[in-house]
Amino acid sequence: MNDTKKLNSATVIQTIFRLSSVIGAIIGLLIAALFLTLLGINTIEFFVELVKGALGSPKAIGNTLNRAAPYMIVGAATAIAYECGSMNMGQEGQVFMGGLGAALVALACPGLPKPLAIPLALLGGMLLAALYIAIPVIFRLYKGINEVLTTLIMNYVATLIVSAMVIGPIACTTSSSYPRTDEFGAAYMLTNWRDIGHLHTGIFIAVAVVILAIYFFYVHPAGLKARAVGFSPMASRTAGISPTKVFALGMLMNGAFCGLAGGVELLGRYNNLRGSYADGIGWDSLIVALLSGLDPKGVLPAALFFGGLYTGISTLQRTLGVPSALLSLIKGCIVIFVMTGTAIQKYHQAKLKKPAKKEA
Amino acid sequence: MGNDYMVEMQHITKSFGKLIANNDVSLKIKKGEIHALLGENGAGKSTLMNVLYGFYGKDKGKILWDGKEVSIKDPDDAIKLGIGMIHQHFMLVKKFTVLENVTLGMKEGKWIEIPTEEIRKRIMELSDLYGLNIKPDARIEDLTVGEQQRVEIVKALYRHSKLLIMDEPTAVLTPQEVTKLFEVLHKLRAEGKSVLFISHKLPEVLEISNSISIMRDGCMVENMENRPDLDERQLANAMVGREILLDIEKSECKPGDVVLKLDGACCDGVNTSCGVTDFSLEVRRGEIVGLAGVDGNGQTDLSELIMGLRKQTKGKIEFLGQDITHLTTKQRRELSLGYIPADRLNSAMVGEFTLRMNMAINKPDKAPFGTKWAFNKKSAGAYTREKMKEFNVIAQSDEVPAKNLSGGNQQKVVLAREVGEKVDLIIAVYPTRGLDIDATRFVFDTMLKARDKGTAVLYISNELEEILQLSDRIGVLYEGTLNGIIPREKADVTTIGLMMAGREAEVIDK
Repeated sequence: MNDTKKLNSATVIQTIFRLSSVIGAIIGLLIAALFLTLLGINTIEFFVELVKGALGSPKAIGNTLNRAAPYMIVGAATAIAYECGSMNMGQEGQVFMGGLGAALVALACPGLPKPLAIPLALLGGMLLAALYIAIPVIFRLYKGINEVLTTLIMNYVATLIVSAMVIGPIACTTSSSYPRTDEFGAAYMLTNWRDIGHLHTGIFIAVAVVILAIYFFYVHPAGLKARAVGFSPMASRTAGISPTKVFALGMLMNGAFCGLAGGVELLGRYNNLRGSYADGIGWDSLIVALLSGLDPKGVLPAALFFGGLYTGISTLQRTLGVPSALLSLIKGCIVIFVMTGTAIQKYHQAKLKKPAKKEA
Repeated sequence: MGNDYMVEMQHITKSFGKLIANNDVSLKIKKGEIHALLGENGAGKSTLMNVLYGFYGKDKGKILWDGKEVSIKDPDDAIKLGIGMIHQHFMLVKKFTVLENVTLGMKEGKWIEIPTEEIRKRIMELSDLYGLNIKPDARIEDLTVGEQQRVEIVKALYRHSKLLIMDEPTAVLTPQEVTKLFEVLHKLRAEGKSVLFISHKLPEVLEISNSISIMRDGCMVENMENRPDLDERQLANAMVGREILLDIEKSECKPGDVVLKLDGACCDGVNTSCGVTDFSLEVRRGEIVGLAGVDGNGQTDLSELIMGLRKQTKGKIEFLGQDITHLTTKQRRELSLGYIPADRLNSAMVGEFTLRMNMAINKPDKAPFGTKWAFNKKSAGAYTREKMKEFNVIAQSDEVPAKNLSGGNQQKVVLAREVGEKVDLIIAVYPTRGLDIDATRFVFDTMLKARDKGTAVLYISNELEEILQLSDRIGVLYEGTLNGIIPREKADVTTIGLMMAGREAEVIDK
C-alpha cells in the first residue's frame, strides 16, 4: 500500500531516536537553567561558567578527562553487555570490587617494579570484579533468578565489603583520620601530569578499551553473534549461537571491565583504598551507556560530556554557589528524556509492525 | 421479528494491498445453530471473522443483524450487538480469578462500586445453565486450557452474547476436553444461541455443526446443511479444490543413499506443543519426503529436534551415517545442511539486522563473510548481493534491515543462506507460509532443483496440496508421531486427510 510513506516516517523516527540522547541532554541542561533562574542565577552566565569549569583551563580539562576515563570503560562494557541481552545493573559494585582487587594485589606485593605492578594490580581488579559478578550469573543460569535484581542488590554488598575491609583486614597500620589502607607506593601510581590537573594515563587505557569495544562490536564475528542474541535469542539459537553462553560472557566481561575502571580510578587518583573512593562512578556510567544509545561508538562523546558536566558543576559550586544537587537534577532529566525517546521509538515500531501481523 | 437469521454477511470484500482476503463472501447464520466455517490456512476465514467482529473495516458489502443492517466499526460495536469472540489465544489475565476476569470485561460501568456478588451469582447461574463447571474464585493460572476456554465462554455469555465466534477452539484441546466443549456447545444451541465454529478439522465439523460453509482462496465455495450422508471426502475436495493451482513438473525420483536417519527419536514438548515420540524416518538423496499434518502435531518439535535445539530424550539421529545425536546446534550447523524454520521473522532471521548480517549469521567467521578476527563487510556484501540476484530478492540494497522486506523476499533471503550453496539435506518447515503465489512457486522450484541435484529434502507443511505436489513420499505427523508413510502414488487428499485425523494408513487402505 503506502509502504514508502511508512518507511519514511520510520526513518524520521529512527533519526529522532538516534538524536534523543542529545535532545535529552539539552533539555536536561535547560531545565537545570530554569531552576537556577529561580535561584536568581543568570542562564547565560551559568552556561558560560559551566563550560569554563569543564574546559576553561588545562587543569579543568585534566579533571574532565580523569573523570571521563572510568565512565568510558564502564560505559563501553555496559553498552556491549546490554546488547548481548544481559541486564547487568551491578556496575557500581563491580567498580568497587575492582578497586579492592587492585588494592589487594598492591598490598600483597609491595616491592614490584612499576611495569609489572600496574598491569598486575589492574588484572587483580578485573579478576575480582568478574568473580563477584559470576555469582548472579550462576543464580540466573541455574535457578533462573533475574539478574537485574541480584546485581542491583550486590552493589550495596560490594560497597559494604570494601568499607569493612578498609576498617578491618587491610586497615591502615599507621594512624589515620579516616578508614583507609596503607599507601601502595610509587610503583602503583599511574603516571600523571600535575600541570594538567593531575591527568593520569588512565585516559589512554580508557580510549583503548572503547576502541576495543568498537572493534568487538562492529568488526569481530563474535560481536555480530552477541548482537544477534540481544535482538533475538530465538534466531540466534537457530543459527547455532548459544544465548546462555553469550549472556554469561557479556556479564563476566562487564564485570571485568568495571573492575578495570575501578583499578584505574584507584591507581590514577589515590594511592590507598578508602571506603567511598569511587562513589557513583558505576551509576553515572549507566547513564553514560544509556546516553551513548547502547552503542560503543557513542560512549566516547557521552563519557566526555558527563565528565565535563561533573567537573563543570563542581566548579560552579565554588564560583556561582550552585547547589551540588543540581548535578543529580540534570542526570535525572537526561535519563527521563532519553528513556522517553526509547519508549516512543518502541511504540512507533509496534505500530508499524501491527498491520503486517494482521494479515496472517 | 420472525427473522430466522441471527446474522447475515452479504457480499463482503476485503483486501490488504494487492491481496484480496475476502472476495464477495456471503455468510448466513441461523438463530440457534452451530455453523461451521471450514477452510485451509489463508483461505480468508479469520479475515471474515475479523470483519464481523469489527477488527477490520470492509471494502464492500453489508452486515445484517437480526434482519437489520448494522455498521460494526470496532469490537465494541460487535459486543454491544451481542457478538462474542473466543480467540485461539485466550484474552485472560493469568494472575486474576475468573470473577476478576469477567469484571474486567464489563462494559456497563458502575465505576464506584463493582457489584461483585451480583457477578458471582451470574457466573454461577451461567455455569450451571450451560454445564461449564466454572468456579468464580479459581485463579486462571490454576485452570486447564479447556477450563480457560470455558471462562472465555462465560465472559462472552456474561455480556449477553447471542452469537459466539470460536476460532479453531479445538486446536489447543485434548480429545477429552473437545468432548466436554461439544457438550457445552450443544447446550448453547439448546438455549437459542448461535455458534460460529471455525475449523479445518473435518471430523469435528461433521460431528458438531448444523450447517457448513467452506472458503477457499478468499471466496465462499460452499454453503450447505450438514446431512448424514455428507463425508470427509466431500468436504476435503471442496476445501482444497479440484484444480491444482500450481502446476509442477517433476522429474522421476531416483533415491540414493540415506542422508538423514531418525531412529526412535523422542523429545518433550515446550509450552503447549506435543513433542516428538518414538520417531523413525529415513530421507534419501534425491527425494522429497513430505510430512503433512494439522498444525501443532509436532512439526516445530521435530525440526528443532533434528537441529539440536531440543533436548533429545531417546533414540538416535544420523546424518550421512554419522551419529549426530549428541552434537550441539552449532556443530550441526557445520554439517552440509540447510534449515528453514517455521517462524521466519523470529527464528530464521534477526529483523533488525541487515540482509548482509542475516546472510552471515550462521558463520560470520568463515569465508566469504569474514575470518576468525574480523567480519568482512565487503566480501560479505558482495556475496549477499550475488545471492540476492540469484534468488531474486527485491530490496534496495544488502544493507536494509530484514524486517523491512516482504515475507516472500525474507524467505528468499533465508533460502539463499540455507541452500544457496549445495547441501546434502534441507529441512523446511512451513516454507510457504504467508507467501504469495510467485514466492511459493520459487520455494517449490528451489526444493525441486535441490532434489534433482541429489539433495535429500524433508518438507514439513500443513498445506496438504503442497505436500501432494512436491513429495516423493508422504508421511503424516500426528501428535508427535509418524502416523504412517506412503509413496506419492498411493496418496490422495482423502487418505492423507484421514491419516491427519489420526487413522492408521493400513486401515484406510481396506
